[in-house]
Amino acid sequence: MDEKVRLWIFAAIFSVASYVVSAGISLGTAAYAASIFLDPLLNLTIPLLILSVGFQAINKRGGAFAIGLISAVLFALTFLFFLTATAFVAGILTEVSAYLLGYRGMKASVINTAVYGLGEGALSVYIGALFLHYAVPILPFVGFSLVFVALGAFVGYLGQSISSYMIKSGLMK
Amino acid sequence: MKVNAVLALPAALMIALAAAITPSPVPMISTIPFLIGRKRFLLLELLVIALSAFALSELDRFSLFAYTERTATFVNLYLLASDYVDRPSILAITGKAGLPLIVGLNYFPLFLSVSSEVTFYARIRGITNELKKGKFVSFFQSLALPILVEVVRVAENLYMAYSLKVYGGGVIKRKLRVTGADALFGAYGALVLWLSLIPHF
Repeated sequence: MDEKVRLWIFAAIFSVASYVVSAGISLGTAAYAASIFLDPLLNLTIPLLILSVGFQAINKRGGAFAIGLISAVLFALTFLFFLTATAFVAGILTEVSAYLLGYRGMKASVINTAVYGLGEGALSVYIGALFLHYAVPILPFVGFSLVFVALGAFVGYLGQSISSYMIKSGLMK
Repeated sequence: MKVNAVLALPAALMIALAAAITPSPVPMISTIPFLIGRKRFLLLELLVIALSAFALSELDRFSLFAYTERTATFVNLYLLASDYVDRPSILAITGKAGLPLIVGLNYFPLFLSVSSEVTFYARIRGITNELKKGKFVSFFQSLALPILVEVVRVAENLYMAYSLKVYGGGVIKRKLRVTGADALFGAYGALVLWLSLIPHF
């Protein structure tokens, strides 16, 4: 009972933080009129980085699924329905990956985050294109997927280095 | 001033719906007066809205301004909900299972201010120069670390507080009393929705 409570509280906090940071980053970069490349670059990496650290902070069976579920609910509450389904699916896929690899450690973090990034990113690009009545052909879709996997792997590496720093400094148990 | 959730949440939902289905500026404008207490955030947001309107009209894509309005409305509504909704009354509707949602409402303003300030000050502090030099890893770490430290600290403290207080068998009293001020708030939401649906607004 205690473990489940910790799981859902952590999942809620990390999902909300990841969601909010998107809005915060857009606010911060737009207000200072920083480079136009900064906003999409940060928006693709930092929310995923927060979720990646979240997987490692929770470190329990069902953590990735909980984060995917709560993110899906948050997107649904703000009428972003095409992101709802992708977040839910990405959470399930990451849970499968974490079942095989665990949650902490370099290999686990890189692969888990790559899986989540792939599920969230590639699927939402595909569904978003469908909304504009455009079915993405196979080759660009594979290209997109590879980009998201690479991005997810990079973010997973960052997540692992940050969370190992936090564990060593005692911030994260 | 705290408003009962039984009327406040439907009112907020109506404003959110108005923003989601119409391109009217009424929902966004209706949420701004409540943010007077948060002057710095409000100024930042108004600046962003003005910049967006200017940029979109220059690029001849003003129809996309509806998305800026929507984002601003949703962000404001979350802040409003955190500031004005009487939290125990949410539990009156949902029971104990609604606690993660209340948790989310509580920390939205904190995370928003941390992340917008970190990215805002990144340029002054020369962190974006690391990007030009090609030091990608340290760039992302410098930006993400303050945000993440805050997130992890919040999560750990909240878990401890939860274990000590609610988990220890606290009884949740269901508070369903509605006052005149609450009814006014509910009517405000309905008015905003109605106004937005009028074509020329």
